Amino acid sequence: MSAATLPPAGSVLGALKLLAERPSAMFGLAVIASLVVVALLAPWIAPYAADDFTEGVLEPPSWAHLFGIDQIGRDLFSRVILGTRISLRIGLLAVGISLAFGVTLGVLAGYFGGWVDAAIMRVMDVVMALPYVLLAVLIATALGPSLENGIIAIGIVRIPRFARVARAATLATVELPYVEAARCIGASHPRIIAKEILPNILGPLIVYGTLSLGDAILAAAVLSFLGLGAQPPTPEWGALLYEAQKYLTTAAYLSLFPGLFVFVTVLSFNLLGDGLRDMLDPKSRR
Amino acid sequence: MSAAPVAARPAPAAPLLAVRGLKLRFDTRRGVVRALDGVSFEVAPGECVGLVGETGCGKSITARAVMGLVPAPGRIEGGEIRLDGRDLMALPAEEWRAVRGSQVAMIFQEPKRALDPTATVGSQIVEAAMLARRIDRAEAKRLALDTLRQVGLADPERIMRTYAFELSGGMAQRAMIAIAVVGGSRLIIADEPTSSLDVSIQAQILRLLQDLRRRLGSALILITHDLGVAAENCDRIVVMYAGQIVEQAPARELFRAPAHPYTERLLRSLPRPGRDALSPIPGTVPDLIDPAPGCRFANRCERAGPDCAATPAMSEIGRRHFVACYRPVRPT
Repeated sequence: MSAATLPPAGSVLGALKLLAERPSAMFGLAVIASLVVVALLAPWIAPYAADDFTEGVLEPPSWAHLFGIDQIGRDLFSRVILGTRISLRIGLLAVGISLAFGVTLGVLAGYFGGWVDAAIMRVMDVVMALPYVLLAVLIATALGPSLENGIIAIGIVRIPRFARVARAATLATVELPYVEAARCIGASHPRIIAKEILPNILGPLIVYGTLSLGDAILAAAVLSFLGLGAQPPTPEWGALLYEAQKYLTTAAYLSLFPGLFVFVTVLSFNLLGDGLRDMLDPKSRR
Repeated sequence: MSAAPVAARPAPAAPLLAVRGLKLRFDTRRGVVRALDGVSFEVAPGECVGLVGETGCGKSITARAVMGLVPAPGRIEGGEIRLDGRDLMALPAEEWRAVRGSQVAMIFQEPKRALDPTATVGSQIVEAAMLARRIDRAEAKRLALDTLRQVGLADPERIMRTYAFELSGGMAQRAMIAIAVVGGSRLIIADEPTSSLDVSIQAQILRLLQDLRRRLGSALILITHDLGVAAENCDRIVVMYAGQIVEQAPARELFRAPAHPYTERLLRSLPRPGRDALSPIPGTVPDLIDPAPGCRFANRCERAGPDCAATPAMSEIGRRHFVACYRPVRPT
């Protein structure tokens, strides 16, 4: 690649230019941008409401009903479009939970080291060993299955991963001369964490956060498919798949379209995340 | 400081910084490294003291100890660090933090790495000023602009908005110096401030430091492995070897009549026009894990004898000239 230096900090345009050198990342970004627009405008794009009944049952795709009609007469296109908003929200909330707790714990562990580090990271190891489906089952048993509880389960299991990324980045940063320089002007620990550490570990966190958005959406779909997440008639993509599974042989289109949306969304987040990683890590620029 | 009338014969000024018997250890997997073993020296107000020695002799860690920022797993085992008579080591962490930036400040070897890459130069100077002087942002900004002008950076308004990567090494070091002096510290510690810079820039930065020292009346500890730099800039020179101070003297005296064999060899190993070959010191610095008792330079010393197996004490051999050696070099 020709670009040898990073753009000036804070230059969004410069960042976009660098990203533009990676077609796959730009594709991911374009798809995600469209999905966001779709999510924001969903009620205006969707010709029907989520639980509107139309003429007919189990109709294959047609011009009037692009994705067909489901087993009780609802327009699948409308439901998938409305589901976009739900799925993106799930991703953001779940990753938000992981990010908030994971970064806090990881930075504290990396910054203070010693027993603080040992205590935090051992707890993280335990949480890390927990499969999210199992945690979701536990939460569902205790609080009842719901989309919110699914989000919490997905958010919790990913805390250790964010903690590890944040800790590793913090460990590399605290050693740098400018952190010592900040100490030399009398800056306190909270101030150093806020002003020196956090801004300088943002890169890997953005990359990991982007990659995680796709994973979280996929995980939420899995939970809903298993009946542990969004409950019918919520048009969440996983819930749509759950409802469609009985008709897999007779009306495959009911599974195909929600599945396609999950697939494309997760793929786009992964492509964008990989692109961002290449962009932010000069070593992997080839 | 007391306001007592000055005596007829000027008594030696009360030291600004007094380090006494400082011992510092690192617990490593291989064993205990005694990085500093009984380091004692003083810095008078407004004085420039050079701390010289080879890499690893303990000069940088001495500076860190004075700042109260000994990196883990380093630990101060004993001794005293007094600033203006106040025992810093007895202070709670929060009070020592308040000392940093307002009473002691530090300048680093690699200025571009000592500036935060994600913050503008201006915000870093403003921050330092606000922390040290407890002033509001507007006042801190005025002070920052003024300080940038003082360190010789033209167009301070523009410099305020730049990031470290946009500056040359020399400009970045000037910005670092601005951060160090903006708090009004009376003691500035410069740790190899010119080692990463071009030779032509080195001279400018050293001149700036001297100039600021005189104008602000602050003392300067110049840490360097370059005896030439120390000779040109310092009033007094402290020579360290393997975690101990081996000799200290006024700069001129040290160069005219080095007393410790190590200092003498160090001076002889300097390149000089008209001299054919450099004369390196044979042997290597001893391992600071379980060093042999006695003089630590003995294994490399031409003058060493059986008496050197006991640790030599610091003795005054001339006016303000101290050496820790049983067999000092006599001026010829």
